[in-house]
Amino acid sequence: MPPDTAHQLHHGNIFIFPGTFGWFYLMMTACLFLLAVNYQNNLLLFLCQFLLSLFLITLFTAYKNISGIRLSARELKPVFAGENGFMTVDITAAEGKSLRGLMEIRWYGDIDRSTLDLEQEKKSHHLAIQADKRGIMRLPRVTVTSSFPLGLVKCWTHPDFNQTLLVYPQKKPEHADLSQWYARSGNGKQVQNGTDDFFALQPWQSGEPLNRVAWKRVAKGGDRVNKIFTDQQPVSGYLDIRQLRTDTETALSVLSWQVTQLSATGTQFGLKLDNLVIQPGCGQQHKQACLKALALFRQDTPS
Amino acid sequence: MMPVSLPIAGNRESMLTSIFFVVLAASLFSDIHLWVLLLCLCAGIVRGFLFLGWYNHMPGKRMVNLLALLAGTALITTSDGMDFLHIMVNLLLLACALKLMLLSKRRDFYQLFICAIFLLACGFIFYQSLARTLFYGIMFLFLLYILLSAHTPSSTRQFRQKKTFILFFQALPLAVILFVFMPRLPPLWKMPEGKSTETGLAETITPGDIANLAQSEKLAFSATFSTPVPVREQLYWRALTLEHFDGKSWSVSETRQYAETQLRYMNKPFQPALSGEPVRYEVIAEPTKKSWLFALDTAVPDSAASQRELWQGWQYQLTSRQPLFSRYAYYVASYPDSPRSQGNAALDNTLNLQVPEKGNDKTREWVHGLREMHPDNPAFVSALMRYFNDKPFSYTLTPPPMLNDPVDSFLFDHQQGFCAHYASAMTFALRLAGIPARIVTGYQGGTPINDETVNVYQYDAHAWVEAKTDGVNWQSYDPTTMVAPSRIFDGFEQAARFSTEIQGDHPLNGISQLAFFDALRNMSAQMDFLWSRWFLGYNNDKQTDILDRMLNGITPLKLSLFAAGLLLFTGALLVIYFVPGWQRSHIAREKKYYLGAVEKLEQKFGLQRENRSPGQFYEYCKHKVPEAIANDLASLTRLFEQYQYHPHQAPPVTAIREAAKQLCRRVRNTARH
Repeated sequence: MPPDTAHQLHHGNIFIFPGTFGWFYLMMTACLFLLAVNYQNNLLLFLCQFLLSLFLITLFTAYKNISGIRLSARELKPVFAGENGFMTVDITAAEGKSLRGLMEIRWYGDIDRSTLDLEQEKKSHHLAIQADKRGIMRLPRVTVTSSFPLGLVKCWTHPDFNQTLLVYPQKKPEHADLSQWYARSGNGKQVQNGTDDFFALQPWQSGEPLNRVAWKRVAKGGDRVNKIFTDQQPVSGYLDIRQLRTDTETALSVLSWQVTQLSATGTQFGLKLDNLVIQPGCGQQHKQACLKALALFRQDTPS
Repeated sequence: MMPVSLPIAGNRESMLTSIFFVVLAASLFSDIHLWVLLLCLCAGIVRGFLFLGWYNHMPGKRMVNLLALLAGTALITTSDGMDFLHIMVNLLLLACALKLMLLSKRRDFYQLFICAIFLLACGFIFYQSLARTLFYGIMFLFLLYILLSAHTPSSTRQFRQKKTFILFFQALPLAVILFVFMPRLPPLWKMPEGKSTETGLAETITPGDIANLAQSEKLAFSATFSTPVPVREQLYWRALTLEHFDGKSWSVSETRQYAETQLRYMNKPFQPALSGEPVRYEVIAEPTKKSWLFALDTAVPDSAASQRELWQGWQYQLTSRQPLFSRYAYYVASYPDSPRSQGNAALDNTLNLQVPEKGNDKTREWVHGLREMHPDNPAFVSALMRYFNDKPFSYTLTPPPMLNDPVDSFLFDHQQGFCAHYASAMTFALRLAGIPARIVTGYQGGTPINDETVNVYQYDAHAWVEAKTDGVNWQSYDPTTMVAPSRIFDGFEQAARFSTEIQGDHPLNGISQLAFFDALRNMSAQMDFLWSRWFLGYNNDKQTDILDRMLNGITPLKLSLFAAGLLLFTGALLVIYFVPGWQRSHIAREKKYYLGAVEKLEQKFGLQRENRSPGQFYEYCKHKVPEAIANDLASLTRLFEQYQYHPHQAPPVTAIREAAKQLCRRVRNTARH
């Protein structure tokens, strides 16, 4: 089945096979047939033949119920590594038909099952997937199963929705020496310690006033740190990966956290990643562009 | 897909399943232990409480396992003398009752469904009457409904009912085709004989015992004659020949059984010489769990299948190769005029002259005296028969027990009894006089239910005497006629009703006197007969017959063409069911009404809706049509939009129909502008 964002179910992409219950049902029918033959009991024989016919009918009914259904996936929102991404699958009935029964939707090969009642108002399903690594994650196929009407036969399909999940580097809080770092980072203005907005945490040194110590953190067993507040003032500068003397992944994690933080405070900032330079800016789009650059930094197969 | 775990409280399917099992257990009341039924009831009640949420703790697994162990032990100890099938049914019901208490998973639900079908099937083995079949059919539909409900939890009840019926009636024609035309298999292995539940006939009769003659009103078999029905007094239906006498009881001779087994093993059936005009008929026997069959003398199988399935015994007796666990139809031709002179004469004479060495001394003395007076065999037999007539013998179903020397006490002390007493005394006397004689048991007479069919009931059970009076031919004698002729000429039922000869409790006394009840009984007998004949008795013969008539002679080519035709027909049936073009379009009703009205409007005023929405169309028409019509269109449009966009608070669809009708009427009545 070729990848596509939407799939219309038809005879070419639906698989039908008896489920476990169906096999037991057939086995039982066979046993009853033996009984019927040995007791030469016409009623029993008729019951067997009826059960068999019913099985055949459910085969067609099951197919007819699911064929024509349109499954489509919505584009996914990027997430940070370690979080869950959600793919929303919308289910639409064929023209003039109504959706019946229950449907099971899960990632291909996944054991986690969840059922969706097609006769209820909501006809979409969120599939969660754990994002482990930064970069672009190609999403696996989805298995959609229905066993309407009697559970004897399973109809299923494995659509590939051709969706990717953009995974930003995991956020790692780190602001050792933030002010100094800003001082050195070219044309940026120095962070002015002030009283208006919370900006970051700094290790506490003896002699500093106690009223800025983040006591919550101390209570959790951490070291004493000072809360640093800044006065509202335009700060502009570049975040540069070369300034961080750790391995690339950690640096990216730190930058990821810093981008989020700076965007939250509305600070103007730019990003330098080796050759890639993003001019200073702010706002949601700028943040997403920066995070995307971080996610794709030195990825072998950017797509 | 059904969720793996089912909710407990408020789960409708679990509740319906428990109701199903309770009803099923109640319907099998006479086949299961009372305590199993009670356990089912308990499980139902537990489920009811859980369903209503009055009680929120499911019984623990450990507790139910313990209960299962207990119940299993109880079943083993209480099922002495039950046959295998009944034990299985009890066990299955027991397991289902326990499972019901634990039902919380999809898997449990499916297991219960499989067991339920099995139990229904057992119901079909035990009971095959039309009424029972209908009952189990309805139960089956109910079961389908439950299964469907489990897979469509939020559908309306109407949808589920409709869908169940659709599935049922789509499968029915296919099943009928399979039933009528699928080749039938012979039994794969020989089943052991079961315990006969009917008490009409037995392999041993002990006349002296407390009277235990069947007073059962149950059907034994029906016979449908294709030649004229013989008169009642000729209807002696032979079933068993009892040749061994131990002074009290008559039983099937072991020597005879051994000989039969040998002959059967060598596949040497008896081939009686036949003469005279045959009487042809089809017998549909009720299940007896025994292999004996019923036929008039001298009987031979009369169809290919019957010839294959029946065994012709050397004592003029027909048996089936397989015990009768279900209603069984076979064809027989009887030649009443043929002399019964064949058989293994040496064996016959040895067996049928056997008398116990001691006992019944008075009889021995009396026969000795009588024999001296009548050395001629026929004269001796007449004298015996006359004795029953002359002395004050009477026919009763409740004779006093005769435990010691039963023949003596019957002949000389009590002088009352039923057929078995007379037959026993006469056979014993004949043997003492050196005439080979044996008791034949079977049925006598029958109740005609139409011009060609005779129903024979359990109370028609009878015993008579067969003796070689001339030393060569077996001849039948019925000493009972000497005492109670009405028993033979009018039938047991009439005799029981009008004669004073028969005393004692009988199921027919009283109740049969109501004409209405009689008519009803006759009607139900007719229905059941048709049911037996065309459904339960449908067999190879009838299948061949139908094919023969349809194809006008069976040849392999025709047969294969016919099979191909059947397949095509089945395919066509499926196409009709499932290809959408054949079904009426699924356009919603409200749309149909709206579009219908709009079309009328367009035609009348030469307007084109094109792809305008209803609202736009109204704006477009507003000034082009008379005001009244515009108003009607406005209200129709409003209703339609409401229905489309707020289906939950919409007016009923009938309102749209009314509005559309109103508009159409006005359009029709308006002159063109």
